[in-house]
Amino acid sequence: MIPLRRLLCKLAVAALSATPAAAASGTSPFGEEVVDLDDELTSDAPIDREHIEPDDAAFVIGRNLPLGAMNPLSATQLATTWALSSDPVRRAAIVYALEHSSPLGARTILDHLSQDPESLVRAAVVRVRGY
Amino acid sequence: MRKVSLKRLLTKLTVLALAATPATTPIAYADEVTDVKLAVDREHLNDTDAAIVLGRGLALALDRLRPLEATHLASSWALAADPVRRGAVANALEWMFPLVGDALVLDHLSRDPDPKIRAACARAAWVRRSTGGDLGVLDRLASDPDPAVRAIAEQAG
Repeated sequence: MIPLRRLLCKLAVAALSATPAAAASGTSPFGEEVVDLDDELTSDAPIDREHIEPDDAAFVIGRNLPLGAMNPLSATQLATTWALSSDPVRRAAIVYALEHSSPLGARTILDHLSQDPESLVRAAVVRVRGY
Repeated sequence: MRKVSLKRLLTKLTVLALAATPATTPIAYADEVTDVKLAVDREHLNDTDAAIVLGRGLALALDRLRPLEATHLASSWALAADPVRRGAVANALEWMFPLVGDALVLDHLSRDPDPKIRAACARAAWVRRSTGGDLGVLDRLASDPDPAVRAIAEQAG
């Protein structure tokens, strides 16, 4: 289990690592910018949201996911990983993240999550899509 | 580094392909197939043959999985550190089946340091050109430093 605060710190670090200055000092073997995504961001560990409501936690996490700063394939990989997570907070968070950036496959992810068994996730899709 | 044998991975991919139908619930396959930190133990096969064999199995699985799961699997393997997994994706995309994000995967792998993977990308982009699977990959690979890659791309163009 990963605490919400720790996850938000990691997302902030990931976003900072994508700034132009940081990206200049770290490139992938293929010359693309590197966003530092460690195992806790890409794993399926449930999120300990403490006293925060699930929807609020998902919203905050989603708003801080730096999908737009990542190289496109990494963004798609991270988004699909979270969309297939067993933790509904991660699934709802990726929906909120897609409100501000649309990696390839975003429509597929929203279609998939619009049929999620958790109302939390379906509600997030409705909020993001507007229907 | 932990490893998974080629035979075991092929078995898992076959099971995945046989078990997956559009109507089924998400398949729990998050083991050796999606754990890209596991290096592939290719036994007596060389990298190229292992990638071709795995690519065929992967293509069958990707064709049967639901779109989101297929995109997740393909993108995870395309970002793997193990060149056998990356090569397998490039070889898999030479087979014709729909995949959300295929052009993105090919664009990424066409910049791979391994020329065999870039050559497979050129063939895959050629196959997928008619369905929008080529985001300028063939044009770029037509001036690739490797003559074999360049030849495939020029022939396609």
